[in-house]
Amino acid sequence: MNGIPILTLLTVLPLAGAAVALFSGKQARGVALLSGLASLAVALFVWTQLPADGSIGLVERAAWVPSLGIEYHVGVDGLGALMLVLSAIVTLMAVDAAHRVHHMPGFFYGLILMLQSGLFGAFTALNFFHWFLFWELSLIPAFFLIKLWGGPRRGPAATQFFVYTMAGSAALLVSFLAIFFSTGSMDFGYLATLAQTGALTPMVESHLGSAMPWLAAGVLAGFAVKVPLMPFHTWLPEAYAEAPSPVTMLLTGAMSKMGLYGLLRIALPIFGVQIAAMRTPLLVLATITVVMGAWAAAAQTDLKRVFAYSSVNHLGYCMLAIFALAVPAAGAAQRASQAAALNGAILQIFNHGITAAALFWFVAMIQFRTNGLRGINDFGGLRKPAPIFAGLMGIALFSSLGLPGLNGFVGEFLIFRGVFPLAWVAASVSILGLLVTAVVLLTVIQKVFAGPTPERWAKFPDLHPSERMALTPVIVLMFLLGLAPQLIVDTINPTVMNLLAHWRF
Amino acid sequence: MEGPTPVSALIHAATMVAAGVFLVARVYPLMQAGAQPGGTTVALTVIVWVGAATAVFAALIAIAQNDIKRILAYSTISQLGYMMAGLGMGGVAVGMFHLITHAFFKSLLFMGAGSVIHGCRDEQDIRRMGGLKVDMPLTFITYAIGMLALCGFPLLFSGFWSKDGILEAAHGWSISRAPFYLLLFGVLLTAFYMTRQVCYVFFGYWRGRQTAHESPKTMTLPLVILALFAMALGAIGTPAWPWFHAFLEDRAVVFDLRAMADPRLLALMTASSIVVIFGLMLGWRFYGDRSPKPEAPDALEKIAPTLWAGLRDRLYVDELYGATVVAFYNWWARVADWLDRCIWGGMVAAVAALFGLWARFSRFFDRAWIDGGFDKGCEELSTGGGLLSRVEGGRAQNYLRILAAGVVALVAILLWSVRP
Repeated sequence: MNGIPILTLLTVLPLAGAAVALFSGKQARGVALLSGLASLAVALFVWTQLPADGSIGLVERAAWVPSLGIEYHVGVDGLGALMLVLSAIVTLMAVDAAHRVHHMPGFFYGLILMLQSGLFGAFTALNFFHWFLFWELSLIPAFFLIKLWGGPRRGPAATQFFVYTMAGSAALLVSFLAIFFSTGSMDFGYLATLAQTGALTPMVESHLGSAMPWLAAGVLAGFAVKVPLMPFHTWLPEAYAEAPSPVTMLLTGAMSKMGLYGLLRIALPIFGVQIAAMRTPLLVLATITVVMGAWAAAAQTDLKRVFAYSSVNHLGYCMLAIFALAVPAAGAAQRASQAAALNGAILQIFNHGITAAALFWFVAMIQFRTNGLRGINDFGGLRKPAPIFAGLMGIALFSSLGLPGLNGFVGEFLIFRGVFPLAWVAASVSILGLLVTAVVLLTVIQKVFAGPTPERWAKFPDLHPSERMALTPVIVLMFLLGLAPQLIVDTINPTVMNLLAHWRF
Repeated sequence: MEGPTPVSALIHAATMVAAGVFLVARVYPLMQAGAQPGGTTVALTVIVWVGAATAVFAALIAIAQNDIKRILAYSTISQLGYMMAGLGMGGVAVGMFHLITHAFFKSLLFMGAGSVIHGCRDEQDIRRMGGLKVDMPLTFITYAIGMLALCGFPLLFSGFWSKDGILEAAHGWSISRAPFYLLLFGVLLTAFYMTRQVCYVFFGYWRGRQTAHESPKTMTLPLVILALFAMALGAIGTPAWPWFHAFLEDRAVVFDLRAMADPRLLALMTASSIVVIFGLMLGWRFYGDRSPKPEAPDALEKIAPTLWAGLRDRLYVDELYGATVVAFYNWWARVADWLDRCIWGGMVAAVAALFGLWARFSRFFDRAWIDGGFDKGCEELSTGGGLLSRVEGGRAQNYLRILAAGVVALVAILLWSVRP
């Protein structure tokens, strides 16, 4: 790829799409679909162009504000490229799910594409300033999307979402200002090298005393809010429930992944030693997230809140893996466990993105057919009038609860395979989360699709051909990745090995 | 059990049973790890006790059920107990042989029950059946074969051979003789509850609403095939020709009739045969050919109403789970939700309130102190200015007056200062 700045192109493409969509009124949806397809094509192309050794490739680098250590520096490895593909897929799904937006469609699709650009920027940036810019940039469209197109309690939900994330970002910013003050650099790669050689901590200590654990905590706080890690998650059920479904799909499918990506790209490489020191409390929090998230889902009656808490639970597994592997490896067996956990976490990020987005998509379709109803007790027996609907949503639900053969299983399996030898207590307690999630999702199937069909749902419309066509690729993907996870693992495993080789705990 | 009957047959005869028992058989080397030659391990001991207890426990419950499929379902649980106990005491081949024979006669029984239910127009309550041996002869004959195989009726039926293997292993177990007696008691119970079921369904006279009819060949033909297996399959695992055991243990099979003449073995077979026949007779004695009314209390209920109620309510196992696991699940879900709303959400609300309070205080401070002080200063300046402005009124008389006063004051000061 000599010469063609493909990652810059990828980031600019949705922005251009957004600009066009903004002024194309009713045609905005078409514009957004076209732009989304083009982005997906470019993202998939990036996926094929990765360096074979798992290092960072497709690098573009230019001076920006040299006096402040700010550079335009982008590049991707397997992890980044997978996030790009995921963002592209989820955005496309969200655009497709949004066919009911009649209120200012140009603005709506414009914001969605802007959000996508923010995601692309954040997943490719290798300099803190540049990365932070896009991290925040993605927040603004999300705020307006919730605020303007959300449900009845959208105002408080949007504000809470924004303020909460901003608070996390502020902690993150302070930490990085301190790092910049001590090292004079904002470059992730350079800082990671400093951390790996053990030079970073003395540098910070010579300027700020023993501030390093606090800086790590600040960075973790920023990501913990975004993912979210309990107890920093209370914005999530509100925001997910009140946001219009396409936006919820983006929030859970792509934006929550920014936090996990940040943990892997920024927190572990730079603050590995400090995170290893905090490992036990972090593992406790991750376990709480997994178990209590699942149980909180069991107490919900709103389908969107059920899936919101189930998302908390699913991303909890990723954090469990990420924190569990933060330990100085002793021997090949432990290194293999770390690799399994990290591979599992990355797979889970992708699989959850696809599956959770699909579930919220189905909720949108249910609401479309029932004038906005989405209570778990509002339905029953929908399997009879709408068998295909029930079947496809059933597949998505089973994927979410981790049925072997579907994509949800492989990530969770690898995570537990890796975490058990590294932190067997946390792994054993977290298994409860798997069990409870299964109960919760089967309850959804039972209450919505099984049992007698009430009179008013006797004519519940099944999926029409265009919906089936839109859903087919997603369902196929669930089976494909469930049966052949090596489609992803083969590409990310070199990256995983490369990351693990450079992390110092 | 609530599934469609062919599904029940599949689940009970093959899938679920095969999964659990097969997995124990598959990991048998793990279970055996650390055992002395001829000895046993803690894991296997636990399996034996759980298996023996299950065999009796489920058989007791099966006695007091009235749903034709529910009886068979509890019977399956009971037979699972036999398989597990057999695995624990006699090894893989003993347990697996019962698994295989049971698969055939239990699927025969479930399919037969399906045929009965179909013939009685979707009736599943055995109290509303009766006399079907006349209306459904083929179903009756095959069902009777399955029932005798399940009970372990001597010689002709496969269940006899597989169950005898388990009993023989139990008799020779080094740790305790109790499982043997438990399992023998289970044999009695099995014969009893199966006799009860068959009497209710096939003997006496018809107590249902509509007339019953024999099922079509598509349903009876599989019954016949399964019935043949339920009888003949025993042949591959008799002590004289233990082909199945040899196959699993990968050794050559020898035909040796003298193995049957072993006195201990003969005694055991005789004992178990006596128990089976006694159970059948006991069942016949209670339920026989008599057709009680559907509403009438059961023959056993009249003798022991409390015990009967306990057995009928399945010894409250479901209630126990409801009161423990399910209650804990629901309670804990509420706790998680409450934590979210009140504690975590409350913390956020508290922080927000604190910010609001701080903002108000800040506003107050600004207004009252900073703005207030500034305003006060301004006010004083402007008052002073007002006072001063009066001086500059623009009236010549005032100016002259002040001028005159000034001159007087100046002269006075000069005079004062030059005073000698």
